[in-house]
Amino acid sequence: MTGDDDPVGDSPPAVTVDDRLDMLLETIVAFAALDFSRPAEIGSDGDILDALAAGINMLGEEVEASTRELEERVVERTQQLEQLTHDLRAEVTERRRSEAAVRDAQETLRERLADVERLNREIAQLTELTNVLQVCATRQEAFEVLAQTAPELFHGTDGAVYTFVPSRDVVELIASWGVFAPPATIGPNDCWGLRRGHLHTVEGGQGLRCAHASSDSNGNQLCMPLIAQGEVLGLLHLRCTTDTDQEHGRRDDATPHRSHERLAVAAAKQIALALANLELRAALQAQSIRDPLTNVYNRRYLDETLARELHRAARSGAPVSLLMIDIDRFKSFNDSYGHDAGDTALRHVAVTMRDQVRAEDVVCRYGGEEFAIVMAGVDTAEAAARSEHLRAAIRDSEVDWHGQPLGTITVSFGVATYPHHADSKADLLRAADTALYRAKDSGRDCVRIYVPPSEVT
Amino acid sequence: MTGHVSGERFEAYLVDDGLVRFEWPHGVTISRADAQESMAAIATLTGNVASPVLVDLRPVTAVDREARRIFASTPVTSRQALLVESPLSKTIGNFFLTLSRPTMPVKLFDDEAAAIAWLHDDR
Repeated sequence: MTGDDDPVGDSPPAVTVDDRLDMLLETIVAFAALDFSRPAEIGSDGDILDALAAGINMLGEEVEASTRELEERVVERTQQLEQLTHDLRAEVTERRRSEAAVRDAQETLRERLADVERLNREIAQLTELTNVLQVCATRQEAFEVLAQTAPELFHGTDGAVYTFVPSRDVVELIASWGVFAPPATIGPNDCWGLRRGHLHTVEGGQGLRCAHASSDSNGNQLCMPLIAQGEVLGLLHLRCTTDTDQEHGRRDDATPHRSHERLAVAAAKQIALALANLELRAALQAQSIRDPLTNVYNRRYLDETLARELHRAARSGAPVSLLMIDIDRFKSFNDSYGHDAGDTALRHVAVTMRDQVRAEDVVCRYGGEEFAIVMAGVDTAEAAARSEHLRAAIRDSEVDWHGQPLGTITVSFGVATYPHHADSKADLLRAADTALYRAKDSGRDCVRIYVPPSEVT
Repeated sequence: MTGHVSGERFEAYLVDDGLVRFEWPHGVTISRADAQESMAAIATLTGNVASPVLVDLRPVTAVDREARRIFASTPVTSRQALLVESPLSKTIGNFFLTLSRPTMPVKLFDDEAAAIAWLHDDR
């Protein structure tokens, strides 16, 4: 039934097949645009067009549901991807941080290893230096060792080693290396290290600069006094300039300076100890061969020297003269003035003789007020002449004791010569002693040459 | 065992031979709520025993998507026979079969006796 069939006109107009098809087409177009709000109307006939409408609606529902599910999945996947991206970024950041940390750790490790290697090298060099210094016999020998080893030990620096000279109250240059010209001597007030008694450093040209330090350097400098048992024995001075750094291909930072500081402190201790040992050894040796009162050699040294000179003379054929000297009437001198004055007299005679003889002559205190002088290469006549000269010098000298003149001191001389008077040490000593007794018997203050018993008249 | 449940928009009967028969009013559009209510009715009638169901789709105008999903996956039916006749009811039935993918055997019939016979095959 259609609208045309309604004679009354109050029924809705009939819907034609074309109209229903148009509506279905509109629904399809809307569905195609994903607009599912207006599904197709399904009539009550259940005919083919209703079936078509129902089918379109159900397809629309499926498409809508699929679209919604798809959109939900897209949203879900997008969120998952965003989370994944976030996690990946965090992981990448963390990985980069970890890699940077590993690189830093590796770099630190490399630096530490380099430090350890440098430290090992320095310890080995220092140990070697210490060992060599310990077997040095004299300070001079130790200085020569220092001059040779210090440049290698303090590689990459300019430097100098000084030794203290007490008589001049300065430290004196014994070794230097590098490209700078260190001063020959440094006064104690010209060095902050010496004044303060410990390490003094100037870094990057900043700080208290020592008067002896070169003013043209803007680099690092250090002064380490050589101190052993509280006594200043010398100075170690190091200079580490930027130029020197570049020359040696070093990095321009504080590390070399710090390592040199460490090494300088350790080396200074070892060097100072070695020098102190040498001085101690020299002092002990001097004590063992010198008479403490007069500071001339003792009888033990006389025995050694005489034996050595006689052996040498036996090979060379040169004469060796022995002079025995005794202070006249020393007992009554002691009784008159006391032992302190007697000691003064002994020192005066010893000093006078030591000052008058040749450098190679050996003056010894034989015992009590008796002295002996070994004159190698000197024959009897010359020995007698020198004895006479010494005797006169002593007699003519004045002895002052606490501002009081002690009067004239005279000595008697006995002279014997190898091989003319004796061919052994004991015989020579005995011969010189015999000659001395003759001088005493002759009235003292005179010189007597040994006369063999066979020639005595 | 017999019974009857009267839903908001349906009538459900448990007939003597143990199958459930559904009747919907003419021109109805079955919604999700209708579907849930009808499944509850089956459970009530059968004591939660999965049973064969005869659904008369001939008066139904539409079954919305959520309702179709409920019918397709319900555990209270062992098999469903759908009575169709018009092009509309056939379309609804065919869409249900193909798009909703029911988890139990479903078959369209235009003859009620044949449908009941097929449902009895399940017993």
